[in-house]
Amino acid sequence: MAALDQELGPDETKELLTPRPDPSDAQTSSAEAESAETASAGVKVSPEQAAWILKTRRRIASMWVVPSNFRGRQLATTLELRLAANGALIGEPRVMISSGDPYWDDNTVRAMMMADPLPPPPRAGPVTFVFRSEDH
Amino acid sequence: LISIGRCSKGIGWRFLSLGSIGTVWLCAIAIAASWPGLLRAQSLENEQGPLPTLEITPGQVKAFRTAVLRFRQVGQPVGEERVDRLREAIEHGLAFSSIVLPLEHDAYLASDESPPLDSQAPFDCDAWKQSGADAVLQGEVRRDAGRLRADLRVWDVARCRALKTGSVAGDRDDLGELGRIVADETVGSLTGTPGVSATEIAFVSDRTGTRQIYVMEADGSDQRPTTRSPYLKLAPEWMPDGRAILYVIYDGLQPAFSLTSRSSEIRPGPILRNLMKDRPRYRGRFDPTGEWLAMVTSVDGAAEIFLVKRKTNEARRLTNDPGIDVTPSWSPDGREIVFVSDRTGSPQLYLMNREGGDLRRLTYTGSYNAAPAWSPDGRWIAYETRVRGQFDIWLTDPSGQINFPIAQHARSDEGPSWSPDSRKIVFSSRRRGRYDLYVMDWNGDNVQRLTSDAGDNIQPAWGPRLR
Repeated sequence: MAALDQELGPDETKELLTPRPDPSDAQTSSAEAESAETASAGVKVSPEQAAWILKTRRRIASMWVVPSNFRGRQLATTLELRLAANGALIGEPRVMISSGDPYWDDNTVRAMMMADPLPPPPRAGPVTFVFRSEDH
Repeated sequence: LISIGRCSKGIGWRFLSLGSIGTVWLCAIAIAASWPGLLRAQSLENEQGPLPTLEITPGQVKAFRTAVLRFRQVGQPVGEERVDRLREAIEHGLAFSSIVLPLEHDAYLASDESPPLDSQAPFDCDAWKQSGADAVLQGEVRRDAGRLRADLRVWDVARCRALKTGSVAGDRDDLGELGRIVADETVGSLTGTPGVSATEIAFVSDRTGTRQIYVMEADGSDQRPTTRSPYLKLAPEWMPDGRAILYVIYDGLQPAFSLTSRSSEIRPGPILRNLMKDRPRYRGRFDPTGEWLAMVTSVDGAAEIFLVKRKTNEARRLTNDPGIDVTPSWSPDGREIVFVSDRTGSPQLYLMNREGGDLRRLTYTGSYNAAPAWSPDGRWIAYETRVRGQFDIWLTDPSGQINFPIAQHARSDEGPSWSPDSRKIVFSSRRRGRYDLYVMDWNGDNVQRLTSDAGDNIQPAWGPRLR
């Protein structure tokens, strides 16, 4: 864990390994239900996956343009895509759950395309991303 | 003769010259030697499992970078210098949006000359991606029946596809206007809502003596008076379709309503003079239809709000309280009005429906809350609140549950008015000593000063989108 701290900084490591809120606390909206699924998956990650997740989040966040008018609207879009072993996207991401705002959805796909290639994943294959306008 | 090959599964080497029995034994030895490593690899793969769902929340990038190419002249020449001015105007309009910014020309790794819109050659998205552009604006400009027409295409660099293709036209001699329109369309192609650089703001200024009604472009350019008579004027308010501006004029015993018209269909001058004669008009706010006004007048010495029909003088009283009831602002659906009342001892914001019913108090913090302005998207009510003798601008949601400051300055920020896209707020402030007008994003970011002339500039009213 110390190595992870050294590479990623203790704060981010702590953030990653902190258990997410109990899914049973989630409200009934589709966005929050989606959040609960993500939360349960977020706790169990290997160190390799943890490192990849943080690098990938940084990479996408550095490319993702979020104008102020999208903030505060509790938007969430779920994308699915396939990654090659070198981190390159195979094909275009697919919107699995729309936020209801086509421009926001479009914006998340654009962010993924701009971030291509991602850091090489621990394992090639399908990955699911949830883009949220706010922390929750 | 010795030849070398691989065991099945690629583990160990075999020597064909030893024959098949020897090969089997050697491979078996090699596999046994490598077995612990194989187990570890399989174990690791199981441990990794599928990649978990990744949650992504916004980082620090808040604006799209857009490369604006020089538009191509088509037909009768427009002039190189005018093409450059058009590009400057487009970039100026984008910069005003603060969410779709022009990419610095030094960063361009491809030609800045727009290719023909009907070109069959592939667009060089890789070069623009390397340049740091999220989008590229290409276009053509031509003379068209005494006007200038711009045909434009906005490219999404990431997916190398056109986001928008369209045409806009503007005054031949006003490249600033055409550039602002193109910029607003470009903003819309990326965010779903066009920009507001081509809208106007009305305000009150005493820069030449008496307070008059002025109008300027939203970016502060082209400031000009729309009234000239020597009487004091206040409280400008746009008709929802932008065809006229209502204001209060002090040209008689009592303040009255008057219109400046921007359309041949609306006669300028006094309105509602025969309604409740001899009573003052302090302020009027059009409902979204433009047919009705929430009007502030005085009854028995107390300011009250009435609903009046502009063309028929029909009037209904909405408030009835010994305290003052002033500064109404409509919800975008026209069903509710937020206003200021001191009925509990200090000025606070209240809500009521358009019949005057369902009254409820909205603000409970602050001892002096005033000047509410409901955002066109309905999400927020901006207002001024007094803090240590000066005013800050806060936002509250219509339920009153969320309440926070967006502009705080020791020299008072006052009189907020929303842009038609709800992304920006114009307000007045004494930050330089005298009152100037400033614009900021709805969350308080990107504050820009719009006025610089002498005199006080107050009571801004952001006009509607006219296109």
